[in-house]
Amino acid sequence: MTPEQKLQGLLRLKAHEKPPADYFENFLEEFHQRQRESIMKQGVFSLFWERLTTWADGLRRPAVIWGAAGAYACVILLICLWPKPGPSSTSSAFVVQAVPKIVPNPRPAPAPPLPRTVLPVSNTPIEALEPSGSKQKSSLPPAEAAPEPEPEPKTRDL
Amino acid sequence: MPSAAATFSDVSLSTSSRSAVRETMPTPREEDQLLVERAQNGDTSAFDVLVIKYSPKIYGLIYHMTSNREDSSDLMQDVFARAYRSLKRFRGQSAFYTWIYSIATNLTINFLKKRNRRQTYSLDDIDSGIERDEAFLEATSGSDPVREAGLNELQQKLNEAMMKLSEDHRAVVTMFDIQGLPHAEIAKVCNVSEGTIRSRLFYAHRQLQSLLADYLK
Repeated sequence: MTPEQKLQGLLRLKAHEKPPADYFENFLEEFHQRQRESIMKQGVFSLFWERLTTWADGLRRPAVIWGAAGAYACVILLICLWPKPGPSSTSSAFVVQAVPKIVPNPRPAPAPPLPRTVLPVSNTPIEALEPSGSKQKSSLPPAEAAPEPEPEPKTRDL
Repeated sequence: MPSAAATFSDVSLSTSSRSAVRETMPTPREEDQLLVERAQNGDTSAFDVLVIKYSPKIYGLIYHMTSNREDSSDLMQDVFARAYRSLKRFRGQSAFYTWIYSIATNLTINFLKKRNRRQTYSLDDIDSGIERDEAFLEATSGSDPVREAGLNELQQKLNEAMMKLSEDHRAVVTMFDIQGLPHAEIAKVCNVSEGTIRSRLFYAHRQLQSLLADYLK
């Protein structure tokens, strides 16, 4: 006989440990009594809580459900904790919020009055006034073309 | 030969009737399912039948895991109370005894984890049948003083060795070695694979062999 078989024989001996003969006869009666007592003792909330925990225990078996619930919770948490972009962001969701509301103006604003200044009139032809290289200079912006003083225009006597 | 013909027809009739009876008689699982359905429809006496039928096995499972008869009684009350409350959700996908065994195993393991180190032994008496058991005679015969210590000593040693196993290993040893459940059923009860059950048994046996080495020589 191998040690493994001997061990199994020894463990089977434990099956001879038994409660008194009338134990199981009395058990059912005791069970009914305890059930009645527990119902009398329990309040509405504790009964509800026990039902809830019993129901939750039933969910323990398919671990997939808990895995899915955990994953869902992680996703929700991630969405909540994701850093919100500032107003300079180009995200369309925030652009919509950043653009001020344009209120349509029913009446267009009147144009400002033109200044009533008398412009001097010269008889000299344009070619005579402008030197040969001035075509290039005139194409420059006014700030850069300013240093060269222009000849004083001759006013026309009216 | 009328008598011989009559005998033959009697035999053939009895054989066919026996098979017919076998066909109409429900299996234990079907019996349990019928009782469960009755209990689900409010027939409390049907649940009482299930309690009477399974209380010795459930008690054995809990007792061999706790080594304390008072704790076993309290836990068995909890197991059947829990089963009664959850009965509406039992759909018959597994056998009733697998279902109630898993309730008992889970409740007992949770209890043992809470109880942790403050374990006290309160053992049941050993029935007289053990004195005719071959394994007992083998273990207690011989000249070794430890073996001669006898029945109570052996019971104490066995329980101490069992309590040194982890809760999961103890549950598997109880169901397989003491109660004789097959690997497949234990796997269903514990909701693990058969391979896991075999592995747990292997490690539990190895630990028990070293703890009970004096009795295994």
